[in-house]
Amino acid sequence: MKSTIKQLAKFSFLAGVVFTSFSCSDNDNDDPTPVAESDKVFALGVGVTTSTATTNYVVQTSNLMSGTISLTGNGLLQEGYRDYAFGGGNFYSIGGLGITDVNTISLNSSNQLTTKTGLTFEQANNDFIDPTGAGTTMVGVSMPASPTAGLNANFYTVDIASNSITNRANVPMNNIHPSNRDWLFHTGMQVRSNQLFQTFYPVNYTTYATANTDTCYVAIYSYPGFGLQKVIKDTRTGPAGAFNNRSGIFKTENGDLYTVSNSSYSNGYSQSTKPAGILRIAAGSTEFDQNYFFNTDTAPNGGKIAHAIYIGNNKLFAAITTVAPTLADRWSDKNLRLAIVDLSAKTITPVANAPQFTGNGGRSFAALLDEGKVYTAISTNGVVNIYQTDVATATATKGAVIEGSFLGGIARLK
Amino acid sequence: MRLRSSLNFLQLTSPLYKGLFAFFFFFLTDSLAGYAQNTGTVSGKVTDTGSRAIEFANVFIKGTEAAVQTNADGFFSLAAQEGDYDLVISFVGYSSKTSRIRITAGRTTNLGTIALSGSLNVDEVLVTGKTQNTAIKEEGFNVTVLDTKKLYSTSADLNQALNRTTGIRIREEGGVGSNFSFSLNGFSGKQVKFFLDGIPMDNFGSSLTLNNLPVTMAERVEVYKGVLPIHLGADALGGAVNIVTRANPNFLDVSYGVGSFNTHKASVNGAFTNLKSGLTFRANAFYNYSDNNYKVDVQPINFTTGQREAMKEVERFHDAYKSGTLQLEGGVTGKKYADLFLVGLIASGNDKEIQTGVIMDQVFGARTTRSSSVIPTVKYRKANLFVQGLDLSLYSAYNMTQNQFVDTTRLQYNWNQETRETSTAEFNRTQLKNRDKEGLVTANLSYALFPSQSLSFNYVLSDFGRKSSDVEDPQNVTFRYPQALNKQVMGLAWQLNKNRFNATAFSKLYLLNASSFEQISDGTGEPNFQPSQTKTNNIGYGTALAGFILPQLQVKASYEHTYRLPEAIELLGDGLFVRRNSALKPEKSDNVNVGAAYSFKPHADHQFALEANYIYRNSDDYIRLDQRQAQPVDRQYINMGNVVTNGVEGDFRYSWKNRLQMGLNLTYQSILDKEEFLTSTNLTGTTVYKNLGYGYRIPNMPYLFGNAEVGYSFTDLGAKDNVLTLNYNLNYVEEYFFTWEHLGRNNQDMIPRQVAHNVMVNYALQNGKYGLSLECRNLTDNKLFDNFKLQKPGRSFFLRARYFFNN
Repeated sequence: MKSTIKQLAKFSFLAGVVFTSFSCSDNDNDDPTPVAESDKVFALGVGVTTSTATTNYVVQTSNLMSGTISLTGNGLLQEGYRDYAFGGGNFYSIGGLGITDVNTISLNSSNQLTTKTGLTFEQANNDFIDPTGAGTTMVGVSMPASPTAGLNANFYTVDIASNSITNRANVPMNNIHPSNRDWLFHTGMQVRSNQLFQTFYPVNYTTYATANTDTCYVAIYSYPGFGLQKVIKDTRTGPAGAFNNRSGIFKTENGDLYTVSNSSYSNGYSQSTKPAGILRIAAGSTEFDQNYFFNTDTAPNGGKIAHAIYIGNNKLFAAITTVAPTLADRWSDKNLRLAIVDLSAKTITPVANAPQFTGNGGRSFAALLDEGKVYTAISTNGVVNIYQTDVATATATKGAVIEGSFLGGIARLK
Repeated sequence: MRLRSSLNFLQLTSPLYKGLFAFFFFFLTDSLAGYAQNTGTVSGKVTDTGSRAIEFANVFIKGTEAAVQTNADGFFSLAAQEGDYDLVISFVGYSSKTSRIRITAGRTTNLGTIALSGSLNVDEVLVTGKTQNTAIKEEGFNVTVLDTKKLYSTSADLNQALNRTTGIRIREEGGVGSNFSFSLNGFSGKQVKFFLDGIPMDNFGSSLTLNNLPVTMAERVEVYKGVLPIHLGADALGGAVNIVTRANPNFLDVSYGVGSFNTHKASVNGAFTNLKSGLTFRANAFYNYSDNNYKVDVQPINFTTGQREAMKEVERFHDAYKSGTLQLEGGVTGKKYADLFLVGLIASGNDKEIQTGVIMDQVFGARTTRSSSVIPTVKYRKANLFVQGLDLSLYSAYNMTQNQFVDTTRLQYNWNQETRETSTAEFNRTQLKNRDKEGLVTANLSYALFPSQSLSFNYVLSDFGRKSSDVEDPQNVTFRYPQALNKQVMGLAWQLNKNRFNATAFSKLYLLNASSFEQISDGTGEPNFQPSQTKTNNIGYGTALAGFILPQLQVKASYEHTYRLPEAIELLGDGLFVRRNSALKPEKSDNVNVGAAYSFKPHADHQFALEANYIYRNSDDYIRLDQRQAQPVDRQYINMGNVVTNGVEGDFRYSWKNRLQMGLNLTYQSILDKEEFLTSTNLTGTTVYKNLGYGYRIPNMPYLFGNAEVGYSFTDLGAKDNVLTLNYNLNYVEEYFFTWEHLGRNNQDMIPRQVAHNVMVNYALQNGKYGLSLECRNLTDNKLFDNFKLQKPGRSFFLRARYFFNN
């Protein structure tokens, strides 16, 4: 009897030990590598797909050209799916679980990434840009994905210094593109003095069929009031941009606007009825320039421009198809190569030493112009590498390995 | 019509089935050699002194290997060679009985009814002795039998009850009626299947889930881990839960309780059986209601600035839940043509307000969901059908469930209960209705080949179809193209019982026939669709062994190669956003369990029981939606993932004089991602890339958890046959990560460690006829999270009164 009680006492003690021994503290945190005063600092939004889910991280590096950019014990986890934007020294990570959250990421005094939280958007964000590059105001747009999600396009400005919304306006979707068949998806926007220009493409919001591929549309709004002024159309090419992409419209230093249309099966169009091409809205004008059309299908080294960024001097850094997409390629975003497109000379120069690749479907054509070089990422054989393109020579150099599945965004913070 | 097509299908695959039979033939030929012709049979019925049938009583013929357990109606049948024998009948808690019998060749001797006199009140007091449930545990399967009788005096639902057992972790999003995920040894979702009296209940609608069902509804709950006996025919990858409803012939159990957050729970269970005419009626009714207005810590979003405000404590304001269920059965028992024949109807419904999205930051003030189910059932059981030793049970149900989801209020809410107007809805305007129809048949046929061996066959058919509609989104083409899934599972098992050793070997055939629609691209602006169909078949197999090495030490081992069949959408896509994958394989797993149970009594007053199990799971070809696609369409379900689980579970129990009860259990499972390279095939071709999760613990999965409990009963308190019981229970879950722990610096996405203390005092009068209990859950008001950023209720109280009558 006595011994049993003793045994019992021993056991309960042991049980207690078992329970409490799991209460040890977490092993925090090896200090991150210091950054020298002369170093540049880049912020990268990296997505990782594992066997269970895709997670996103923002990681910093001073070296894009060698070694491995690793996420193991490194980088800031970003909840949910993310899009990235840059303005005023901040790398914005937009997305989240359930609500649209904005993580405003910048460098602290020791040049390490630090996050300011608190800002949220009413609806899922489609685009968030610093329209002038001045770093004072960001402009954002949220377009509901279907009439069940909302009937208004929602524009807003965010004051960078106070990290808060200063102005917002609703524009009925049906005023932008009156149709009982089509819905419209945002593909890009630019602000030129007191006007905002937005490209979009009409699409059936449930089937994603595109019945309307004969016209390029640009909606023009007042800025910063976001009042709809008019929608201009041109039938020389199809709609500018494509599903989930922000490569529909670009602004040059002198105020010319260029719209880039591909109506490519590879980027989700269910039919393709017009050649791929580029139109111009000349500086000061709010109409398409009838004297300018750049047919990229028939140009030497041409094809359909799937994704692009503006890199100055009337040039685009682009991902362009190498073979004409067929119906079987629908949504594939494949057979792409890097190219430099000269908008005024109407030439396309392929980038040498860069492999042919497959895009990420539009949203994340992460590319950064820095000191005459463009940095982007290409995945070959399941390995993601940085590629540095020298704009002057149109030649690429393979850089660092990104330990992740895709690059969602890139910016230079220092 | 659909049944016929599945039968044709069966013929097509018959070569497979021949192989299956050959496999069993091998077992049988071996045993035939020793079988003599001059045998006879003895049969009878075992009851208690109140004429109530005793299930699982042990009956054996001394000096032979003939041994059997009585069925639910107390009947047994044993065969042996001609001669005079001692027949021994025993059941825990009752005195055993020995009768001298004579067996005559070629004849069945019916002994009539044999009554055992009882000694324990099995119904009410906490019992540590061997109960009916132990009988199931003595099979080779790794099964945890939750004796719900022990919990009848509590207000617990089946989820809360099961959450206290090893290997199981139920993760709730909030209070009463909240969504939950059931995980069993790391398997969750459709990998674990649920049964109500052997009928698959996966599609029964959200009002008939474990968090609605009160413990008083069930006689017991069997949790089979990893390896399933064939009588639960299902494509379960990681195990199954079978709820066995109460079968007492005459009883009434009524209870009502009220608690914190305006929670009300009422239940009425009863059965009436006329022992002479065999006429039987059974009824189960229960109702749950709660406002779930518990307090949570949140950062409300300011509608003017779009900024989050400071953290504060607020009350949940749109989280009310109510559910009600009525189950009626009527028929006959103990007839020549049927041991049991019951026709029944389950009618059930719930109404639920939705307070938050996937995390609490997303708050709703008007969205609701509701579900209703009407399920007619038929149960038939007959032992010794046509010939001696041939038992048939046939359960069938037709499930008609409608789920509705409503979001039509043009307002957005924040945690301050402020609103702002929106153009269409709170989040996404919908009045989605899913109408599900499902035919279910479960048939079990078993035949006692020899005194110690039996062969059984099981067939389960489920024929599921869904039609959806939404008046708010009539254009949505996916609603125009319904999906259907016909599943059949057949099992064949051979069972041996010899000298406290039993073994079973089984094989299962899984047949699937899915139909749906797919979109065809034709280069126009309009979409076109065509029907698509797919059929698959797979064979699984397994074995379970158990034996007593010492009288008190039992060891068991089991193994199964099992499958989880794809759903229609996984296989065929939805005709729009998700593309068909004709190469999709079922999820498969090799599951091994090894365990030992030891009980000892160093002194008459002290009883100890120890149980330990080791589990191994090697699961492959998990079906997941390909995450790499950035496109709205061209998503595809693919086989991705190899997960290896090594787990240990321990359970310790001690009791003193039937007054003090102590229990402790702990589960640790190492669930590792073993997929080194991920392959993604889509329109862009095939990509192989390195899996950064390789070798690490799967995130968002509890891996270490346990329970401890202590109870003390003061008997004859106040008056004779009155018992006061004090119970304390501790529930513990170690912190785990929502995303991969090793990625990112100082990963903050974690579900913190949970420790919940629960106490209960119960006063039972007149041997449990009247009961009054007071419970306090989460006594120390700890912040509890089962899911990422979804806070569960704090301290809550519940008072409950019960009346129980058992004839």
